[in-house]
Amino acid sequence: MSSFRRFLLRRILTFIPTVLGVVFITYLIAYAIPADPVRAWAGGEKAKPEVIEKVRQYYYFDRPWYEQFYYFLVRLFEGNLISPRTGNNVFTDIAARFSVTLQLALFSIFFAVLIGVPLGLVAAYKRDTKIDTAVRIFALIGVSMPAFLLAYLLILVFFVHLKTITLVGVPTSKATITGLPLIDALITGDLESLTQIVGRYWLPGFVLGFAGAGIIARFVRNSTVEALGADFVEYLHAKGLQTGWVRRHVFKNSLVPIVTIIGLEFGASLSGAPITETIFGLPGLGYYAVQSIYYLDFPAIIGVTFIFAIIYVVTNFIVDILYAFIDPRVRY
Amino acid sequence: MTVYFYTYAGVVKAVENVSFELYKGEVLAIVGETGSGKSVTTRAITKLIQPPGKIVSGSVIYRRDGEEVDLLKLPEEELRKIRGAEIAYVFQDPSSALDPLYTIGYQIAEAVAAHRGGKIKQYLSEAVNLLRNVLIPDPESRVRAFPHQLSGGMKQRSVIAMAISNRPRILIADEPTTAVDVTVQAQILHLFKQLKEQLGMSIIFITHNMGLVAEFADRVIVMYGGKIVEEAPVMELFQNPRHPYTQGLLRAVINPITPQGRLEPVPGTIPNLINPPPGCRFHPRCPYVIKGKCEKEEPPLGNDNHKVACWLYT
Amino acid sequence: MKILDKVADGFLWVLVTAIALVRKDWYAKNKARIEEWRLTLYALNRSPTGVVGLFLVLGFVSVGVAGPFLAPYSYNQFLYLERPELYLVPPGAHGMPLGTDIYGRDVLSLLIYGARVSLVISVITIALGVPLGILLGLLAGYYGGKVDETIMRITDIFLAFPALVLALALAATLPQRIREFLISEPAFASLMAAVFGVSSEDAIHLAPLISIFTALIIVWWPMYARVVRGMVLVEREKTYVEAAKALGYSSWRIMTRHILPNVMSPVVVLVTFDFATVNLLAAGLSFLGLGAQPPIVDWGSLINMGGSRFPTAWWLVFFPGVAIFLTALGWNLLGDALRDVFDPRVRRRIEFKV
Repeated sequence: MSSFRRFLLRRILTFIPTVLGVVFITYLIAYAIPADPVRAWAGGEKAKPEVIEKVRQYYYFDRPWYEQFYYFLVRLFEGNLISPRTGNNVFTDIAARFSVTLQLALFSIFFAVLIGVPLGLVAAYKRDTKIDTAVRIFALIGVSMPAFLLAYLLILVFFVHLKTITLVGVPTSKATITGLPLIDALITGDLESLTQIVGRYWLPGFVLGFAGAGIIARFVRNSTVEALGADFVEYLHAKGLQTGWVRRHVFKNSLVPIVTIIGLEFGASLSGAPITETIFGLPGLGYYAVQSIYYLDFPAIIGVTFIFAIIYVVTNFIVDILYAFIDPRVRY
Repeated sequence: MTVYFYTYAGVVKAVENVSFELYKGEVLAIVGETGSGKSVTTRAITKLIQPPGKIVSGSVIYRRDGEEVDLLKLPEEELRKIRGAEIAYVFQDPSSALDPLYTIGYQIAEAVAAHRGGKIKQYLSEAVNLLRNVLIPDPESRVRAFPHQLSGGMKQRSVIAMAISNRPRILIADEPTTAVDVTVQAQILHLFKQLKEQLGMSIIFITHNMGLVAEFADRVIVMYGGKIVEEAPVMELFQNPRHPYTQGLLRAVINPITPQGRLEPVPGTIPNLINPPPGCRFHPRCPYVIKGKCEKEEPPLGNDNHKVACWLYT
Repeated sequence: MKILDKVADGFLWVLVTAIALVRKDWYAKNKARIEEWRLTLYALNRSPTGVVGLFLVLGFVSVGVAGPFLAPYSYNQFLYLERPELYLVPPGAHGMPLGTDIYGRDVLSLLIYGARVSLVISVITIALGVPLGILLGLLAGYYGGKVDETIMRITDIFLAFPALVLALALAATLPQRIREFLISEPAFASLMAAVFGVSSEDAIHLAPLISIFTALIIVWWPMYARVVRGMVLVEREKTYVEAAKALGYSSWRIMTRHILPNVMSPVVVLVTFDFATVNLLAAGLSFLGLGAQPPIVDWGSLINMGGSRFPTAWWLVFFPGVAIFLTALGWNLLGDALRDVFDPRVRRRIEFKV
């Protein structure tokens, strides 16, 4: 078996305990922390007694804790958590909102990379000049800027003064192939829907990606500088390789950290989604999380936290695999 | 040739007016301490000097097929074709010559493809043959190995394979055996000798190991403080070292030709190349310094078979 | 430049004198270390962004500490009750420099109280979370094997949650418990009240804030455990550790007295950056409604108040937002400068110019 495939197997084996751990922590948060879990799961203060009784049975609250945990797992993996607030199955609600958050994340990565990578490359090739310092300060500003301040400032400009964006509604596409309106509109060449989608998502995407742009710029700069100064680059010249070939080596070597950072940026957009979605009125997973926490809708809180964690873990997993694919030294 | 480095701390005069010749089929050794300018000189031959270094003046006359051409005046693209094909390099630390993300087979094939054209993949079988030439066992499987999977000796041999892949006329080896242990040193030296016979190359090799010089070199250049201080055929140098620095060097290491009683180091340290000592650069450490002369004027190198830059001999 | 250096000298002199009061011979034994600190401060002075950052941070800390005593109005002075015209006025009107909120409270004073809240939350989070993480990282890195495996597994699980989401979930579920705890332990409640700069009757309302920093501590320690563990793994192989073992030093002593000081520099840089991150995260939680509940106020909740009335009450968004931004920027600039100062290669370049 090649070293890569062995690495893949090993990685999958560690993936599973992590997921289980995530479930367990979520369970602790759901059960162990609240003072009265049954009431909490039934809807909190306003819960009617019959509902509480139903919930008690549905989640087996009367049984000892290990049985509870088991049934909790069953319910979770069956996807049968009912939200007392909306009355729906939590996972149905989540599925409906998934595409919104995913599109938001795509836009945010797009902006973060579009701004960050070129800035980072420029700073690397012009290192130690004023341009380098400017990029550095830009990165620091990006990281220090709270999303809500930037969002409201931009809303002031684009919504209040220029009236070019909306803060309600979610555009869809005419065809439904992948379930993601953005991709569907691109595939079918649906320009009208595409304009609507871009119009709705670009500003929240920009706000979400802004901090990431700074981090990516800094990171790209550092890893490119390192790759340029790498010892073997001199030897590549001594071998008499064409410049394009040398650049290929440099690029592949700086690829590893870049892939990592894009993966991290995806995770970061998940983290920033709740705030951005709330401000821009996008009914995505983040907004759902905020609402369910505000109304203390426990099944929803658990469902959403779990989904977020799973997405995060899967993303890290993919990043690790890509990592090992590019750099053979990592496979051990 | 003169090479300066422009740094924060000042201008480092790394190589000052160095001039020498290399004859076909000979092995020329360049000896000297760290900081004597040996590595910089050899890199400058094909303009491999990066900023903050700069080749301030000089020329590198290369005789090829009856023509003469100044390498330092060639356009970059012409120079690129010569590097790796007609003039090849082997550096001290093989780990720093190999890209960790690519297999060594790929990197050797790449060296070939860069000069012969075509896809890299088609040269992989040739890479296997080259690995066999440099005495790497089981080359078919080694060719798919990554650098970190190989030992130091094997890495260095892979680098040598890369260097000879295009049958260079001149091989420049910068301390090729310093980074590997003693038994491997012997093997690599043996390998160099074999390859030289096979391919008829001229070799410049840099070392501070006088034993290697005695075994392998035809002629020797001794450098100190960015200048050449002595130049002679190898036997002549060992039997009759003229420059006080050379004498000091030979006293400090075990001399296989004329054994000595005890080893003595050369007192003092290497000169500061930002502000080199006036006159002869060795004069602060020279046991035979002529007061009034050596610290004022630089001695010329001389012009016969055994050249030396020292006021004791002019 | 010279003035800054003199300030650095003065600061070190004060520090040394203060310590000399407690331990007489400390100065003599640690001369070299003081010199090293002096050079570090000089190097820091050479970075304009670092100095700006330092000033911003000092400003934030001073306002945070002295604030509640100096604020013109107390946070629970609902001026609206006496002077109805003070409901939600923009800056400059009626002598209110930064405007008022929906309860008629002076925004400037609220900003000052908010600084205290931010300072307390970030300090407690870092003060409790970081040492915990460092300790676990030391243990995992030094002992290796099963200890390492278990600790790292747990760390991985916590790191599997996006920070905000985990903090959200915890900050939502904890307040109830903490409220009960505050009721049952009034001494603790008064302590918390004093620390946060609010009056004791309002202590119960501190529950969400306390749950914020509890949540943040739980979210924060894994990062430090992982970073420190990585560094300890490297240090462990170095010969000075082998020498210490050969001298028969106990593992604990080797870990704390020998390895730990050598890994501290990157940790200090990380902590500085984290002050900014914690502040941003805590403000975010507050903005979402999980932080300060009325009558207690912090920067995030002010923005929340202003957000729902945007853009009419823009000053409720703008001023706290800028406050958060400047604070975070200060810590980030400082951290960036410190990172350069501690990096030997960059440090040498700085010193050349001196």
